[in-house]
Amino acid sequence: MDEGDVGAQLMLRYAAGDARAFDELYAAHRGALWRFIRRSVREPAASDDVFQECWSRVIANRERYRPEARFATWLFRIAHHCCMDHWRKTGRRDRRESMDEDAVAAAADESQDGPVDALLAGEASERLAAALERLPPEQRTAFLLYVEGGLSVAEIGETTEVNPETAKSRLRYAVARLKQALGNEAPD
Amino acid sequence: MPPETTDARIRAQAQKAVAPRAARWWLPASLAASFLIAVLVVQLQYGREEKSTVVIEADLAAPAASAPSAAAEAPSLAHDRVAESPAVIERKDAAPSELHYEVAPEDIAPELEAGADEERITTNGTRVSGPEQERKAASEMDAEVINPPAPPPAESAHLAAERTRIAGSLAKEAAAPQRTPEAWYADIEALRKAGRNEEADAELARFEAAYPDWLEKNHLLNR
Repeated sequence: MDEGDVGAQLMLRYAAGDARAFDELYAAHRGALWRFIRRSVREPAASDDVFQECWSRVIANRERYRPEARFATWLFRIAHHCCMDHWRKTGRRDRRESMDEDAVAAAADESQDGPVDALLAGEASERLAAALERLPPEQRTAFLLYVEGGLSVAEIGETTEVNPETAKSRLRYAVARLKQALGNEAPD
Repeated sequence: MPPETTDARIRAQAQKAVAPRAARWWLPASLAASFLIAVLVVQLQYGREEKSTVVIEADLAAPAASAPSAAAEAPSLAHDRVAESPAVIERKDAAPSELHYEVAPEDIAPELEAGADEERITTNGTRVSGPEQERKAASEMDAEVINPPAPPPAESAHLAAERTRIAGSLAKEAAAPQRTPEAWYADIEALRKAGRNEEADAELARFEAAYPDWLEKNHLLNR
């Protein structure tokens, strides 16, 4: 366990019965997790359900948690699985690219707390939000995990259960597309 | 950011998951109570059965006044059980009420010492059980024989002597060993051979009263 991983320490304390540790843990990760889920799921009501389901799994699996990786990695892996389950249930994953521009803009305006929201707050917000929505799901997840979750490439690979090279590739394509949408040149 | 209601729900769920469960004191308490009640019921039932197995000594059953009243006091269920038990057969066998056997006190003692936890009926009709009670009953009987209760002032000396005699005969009856019909009949024949025909006739009458069919079935047939 990384000694500096406060999340892991809090999770271990919570698993030992310290309810206050969960409050700290929740306060530290709720924003990033919410934004990740909301931008992955896109529907506010469904986002709420997925968000609750994610934390329910954290609570239910507290005694099985082993600090072999950063807590954020574990948390976002659960969130990713919750999103996958949601997509499986609704069958809407493939429809994201057909989402209309207004809905994308509305989703982008909902929250302005995270790194993506800061980007979207600028002049090119609509274009960026639309570009983000149009990203292939894997690239979009990799991008959100990188930006919102603060995960490394290796951790993104671990979270999405692909090898680090694949995760890196997805992230690179995502960034290139978004830059392209904002009028910049895609990096090599 | 997630709605506050969502935050509240998740926090509540998390706290509930690690909250110490209320001590379930009622579970062990109810188990202990059930066990206690079961033990008490078994003990009560066992004690009731012990009391119901009334064993009446054959020679004490003779007094017509005391024995029937004692049997009448027993519960009907107990009465049924007694009727089925060998002790009753012995009692029937020993029914003659006026038997007088000369038995030394030391012959009685082993029987009293070896007495099991059986209920017995003393001469005054009260029930006793166990060796301790038997000793107590025997001592009471001895006390009655040796020190008969003082007659009321108005009672004559003759009545007092009669009471003493009756008490003594009862005590002897209580101490008398049980005889088989064969032994009894042999005694009667011995009396007759000795020329004590009156006594032999009286004994024979009592014998026939006690064993109405014995002579016909056994002795006469053997002849």
